[in-house]
Amino acid sequence: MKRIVITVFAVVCWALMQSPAQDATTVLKKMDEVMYASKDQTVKLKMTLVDKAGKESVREAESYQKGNDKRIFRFTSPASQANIAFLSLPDEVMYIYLPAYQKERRIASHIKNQGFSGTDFSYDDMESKLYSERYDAVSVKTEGNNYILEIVPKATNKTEYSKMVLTMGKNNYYPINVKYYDKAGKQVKELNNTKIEQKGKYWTATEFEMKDLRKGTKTKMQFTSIEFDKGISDDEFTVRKLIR
Amino acid sequence: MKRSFLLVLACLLAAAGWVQAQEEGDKLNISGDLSTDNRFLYENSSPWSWNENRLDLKLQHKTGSWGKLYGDIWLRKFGTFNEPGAYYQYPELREAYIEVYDFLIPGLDLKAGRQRIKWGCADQINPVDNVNTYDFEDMWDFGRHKGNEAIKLKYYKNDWQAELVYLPFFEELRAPLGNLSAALMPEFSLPSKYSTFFPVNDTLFIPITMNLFFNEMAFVPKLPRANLGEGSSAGIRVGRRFGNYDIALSYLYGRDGLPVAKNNKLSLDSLSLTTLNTYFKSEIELIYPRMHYIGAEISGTIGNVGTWIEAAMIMPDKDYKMSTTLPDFSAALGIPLPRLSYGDTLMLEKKPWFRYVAGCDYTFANGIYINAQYAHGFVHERTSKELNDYLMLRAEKKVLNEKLRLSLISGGLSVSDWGDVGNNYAFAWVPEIGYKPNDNTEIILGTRIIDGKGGGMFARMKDYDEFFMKLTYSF
Repeated sequence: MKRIVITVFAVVCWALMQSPAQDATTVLKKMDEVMYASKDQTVKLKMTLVDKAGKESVREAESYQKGNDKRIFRFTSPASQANIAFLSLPDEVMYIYLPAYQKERRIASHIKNQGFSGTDFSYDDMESKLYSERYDAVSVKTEGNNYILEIVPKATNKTEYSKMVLTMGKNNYYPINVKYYDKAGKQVKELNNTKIEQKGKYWTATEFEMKDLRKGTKTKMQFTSIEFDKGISDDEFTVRKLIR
Repeated sequence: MKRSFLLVLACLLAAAGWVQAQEEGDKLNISGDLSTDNRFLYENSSPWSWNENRLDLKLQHKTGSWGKLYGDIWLRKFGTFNEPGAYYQYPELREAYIEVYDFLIPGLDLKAGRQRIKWGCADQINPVDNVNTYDFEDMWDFGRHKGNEAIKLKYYKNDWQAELVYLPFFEELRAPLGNLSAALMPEFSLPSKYSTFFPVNDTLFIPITMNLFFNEMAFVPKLPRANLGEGSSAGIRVGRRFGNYDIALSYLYGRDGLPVAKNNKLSLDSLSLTTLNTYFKSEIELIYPRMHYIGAEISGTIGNVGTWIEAAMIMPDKDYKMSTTLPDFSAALGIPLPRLSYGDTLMLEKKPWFRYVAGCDYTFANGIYINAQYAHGFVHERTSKELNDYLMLRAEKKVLNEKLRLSLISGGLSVSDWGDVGNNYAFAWVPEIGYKPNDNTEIILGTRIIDGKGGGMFARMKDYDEFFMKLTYSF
């Protein structure tokens, strides 16, 4: 009898421990469904880099994305950066095109945790892969109209972060705020999606800001135009298109 | 030169204007860089070794649908080299081409005009990058090539790329300017003695040895004729992505921009019968050897480390020999002498040699970027005996929001004879700091400290330690 009681107690405890995680996983998957709902997207954007002293410099770029693992990102200004372009393909295949070099170049994943062209976003932050493929949901709680979700990287994910804490609206599951923690458990970055809009049937952040708490800098990103589901062909995500 | 430049420029602008008229909304985009590059030697009575002021003007008309027109023009003024009529006194058309996408069939791109065709996957030192003529004007600008008139067809299908190139005309390489002009010259020696038999009478000949001196040497390059058989080059490159690796194979049948001597015509300047000192003038005819270039490239990642290997097998199409035409001593001296002859000298043997580069790069968590390369053979080194070994390393870190770039551990080591390293080595330490006060301006300050022994390329530069400063503004 004693053995049965202990077994039942253990099963109940295990179930209680598991259920929030299940909820957290569901929330994470719902967030992915909202964030990556479109088949493709074409974006023109303005990046404002703000240094520690508050001095700003502006960059402009355009980006084409299909699904979660194909993207071309091309700077259009300033002149020193214009036409520098990146191509991301499945299986962490990445190419860079530097106009001065006149040829595409394969880049290895060692740059993943480095700043993306001087911004406070790393290459890793810029990835558009599903969060649920790269992170495990650990816990979720409710605060007012928001969910607070904690996620940790999967063993296969070579990231500089040890965890992220995401705040998202219960109404749309779109993240409002993301806190990034390093391996020592210290918060190192913070993303604020300052303007979240519903464009057609999709929710998207059209203005957001990444702060690097270590450097005291921030990068503001503003989408000046965004289009969804234009039916972009796979041919657009090739080295041929990268070097044009 | 000036006329042809203006003609091509006019055509480019006219074509751009025409396209602009055809497709409303597409504009001619003008961009470029304005730069000044200054170098000062530490130890010299005239310390300026380089002062180049350059406007690099790029004109581009891009249409989303069918292609683009592109031109790149350099306008330059050197402060240090003031040779009248030198090529750099004039605008230089680096590139001027038209590119047509999906030419005839989907996936096929045509590029025609003066253009740079870049092959290879290594960093700046590319053994397979032999389509365009080398431009050694600035010895420190590794990998610089001239643009060449060419037609390129490139076909893309899935992960495959196939490229056909045809260059109708040959151009010789551009030699280094300034105090490094001799850096690429192979070491060679002219004969200092010549032994023969002097006829005292019909039956008596006495052996004599003449001392040879060369008062004057003139090099006369003989360019191949601009026709299909002599002046043109053609090549093919096929590449594919295999998982983590990009692999390419290439073949090029072209001419080496670095010449070989074909004929050494000696004329007698003066001769002393008492000392047997003979003074010559030498006129050396130079030709540009035909070569087979077979290349292989592989680049990709091992773990998180970027890696690449690039190799080329290079083989002349035949043996290249130099003949020597001796002067008519009989006519010069007024006495009958046997017709003298000098055997041919083998300058380039029809035997292959291999140049290769292996390298890797990695960025550490603290942001330090490391790039290391090992190269066997530099572009001017020909035949297996001449190939030297080079090890290059660059460590770089960007700080202050990438405004300041520190590259303090940067340079290379070369060994020209592993059997006697102590007397055949060179090293160059080239630390530099780059500062970007704003997005479009970069100031680079650095130094080159070189030391070494022997006849290798860098060892010959050991007396030219210098400080350099470059300012570039992009627009």
